[in-house]
Amino acid sequence: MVDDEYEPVLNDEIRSWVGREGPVVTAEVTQRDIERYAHAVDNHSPLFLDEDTATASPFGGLIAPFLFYPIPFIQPLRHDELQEDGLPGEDTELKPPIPLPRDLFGGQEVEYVRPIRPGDVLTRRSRISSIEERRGRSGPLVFVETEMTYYDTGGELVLTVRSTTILL
Amino acid sequence: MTDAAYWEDLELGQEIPSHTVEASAVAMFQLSAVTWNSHRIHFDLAWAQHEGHEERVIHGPFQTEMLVQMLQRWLGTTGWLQKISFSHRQVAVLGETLTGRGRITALREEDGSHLADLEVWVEKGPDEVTTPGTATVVLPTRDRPIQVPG
Repeated sequence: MVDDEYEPVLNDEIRSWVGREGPVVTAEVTQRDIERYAHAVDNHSPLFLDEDTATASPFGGLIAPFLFYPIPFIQPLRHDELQEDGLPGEDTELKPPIPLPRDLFGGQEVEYVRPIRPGDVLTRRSRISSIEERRGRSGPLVFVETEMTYYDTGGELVLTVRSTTILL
Repeated sequence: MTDAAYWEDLELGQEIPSHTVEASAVAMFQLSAVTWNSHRIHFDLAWAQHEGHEERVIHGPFQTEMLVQMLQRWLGTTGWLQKISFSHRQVAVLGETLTGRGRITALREEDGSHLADLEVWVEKGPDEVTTPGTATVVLPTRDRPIQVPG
C-alpha cells in the first residue's frame, strides 16, 4: 500500500464518541453471590468464605474475589434476545459507528482502590475513553477503549476497568 | 495455607509458584452459568466445531481467573492483588493443560506500601502463551502487615 492511498477510518463524527457515557447502574454485593462465584471458579480463599479468618487478616473482614465485580451487574436476558450462537445481540449503546467488519478483544486492565466487600452497593459508570487508529500491515486498526468505574455509596472510587476492542 | 510471601525476601526476576489447571467440562459449565454466558463454543462441541475449533473453547475469563488464583495462592491471606492487565492472544480448548506463571519485574515502595510488579502469563506449552499480562501486588514486610484501604 502506498502512503497517499491510505484513507483514515476515523473522522470527527466517530471521534466525538470519546467521552460518551453509557447507562449508570447500581447493584448490591451479597455474600450469597460471592459464595456462588467462589465455588463456580473453585476459588476457596477464606478471605471470601470464612468470616473469622478474614476478620483476623489484614483485610479485617470478608472481601469479594478479584474478578467478581461484574457479577452483581449481570442483566439476565430473554431467550429471544440471544443469537443462534448463544451470545446476546449487539449492544449498540457504546459502540461507535466504525466501518470495519471484524472486532477482537484487545485486552483489559482491572485496578482496585480498595477491595469489594459484601454489603457494598456499587454504582457503575461507563464511557468511551479513547479511540485511536493505527495503520496495520493489511489495513487500518482502530482501538476503542471503554472505561468502567465503580463507586461506593460515599462516592469513593472502588475500582476501574479498562477494556480495549480492536476493529480491523 | 502456604508460607506468606514477604516483600524483603523477593528478588527481581524471581518466579512465583506456577499454577497448572486441566479444565473440565463441569468447571467450564459452572463458569458459563455463574456469569450468565450462554455462548455455545464453551459447552456445545458440535457448535464449537462448526465455528472451526477442535474442541469446546476455554473462556478467556477462565484463564484470567487462573492468573488471579496463582497470585492469590502465593499471597495467602496477608498480601493483596491490586491490579492486573491481560489480553487473550490464542485460543485454548478443552483437553489442553494450561499453566499460569509469574515473574517479578519490579519491587518498589509507594506511600508507605511495599509493592511488587510481575509479568504473568498462561501458557499451553513452552512458547505457546495464550494470555500474557502484568500484575501489581501489595505485600507485607516481616515487621509490618499491609494496610488495606477502605
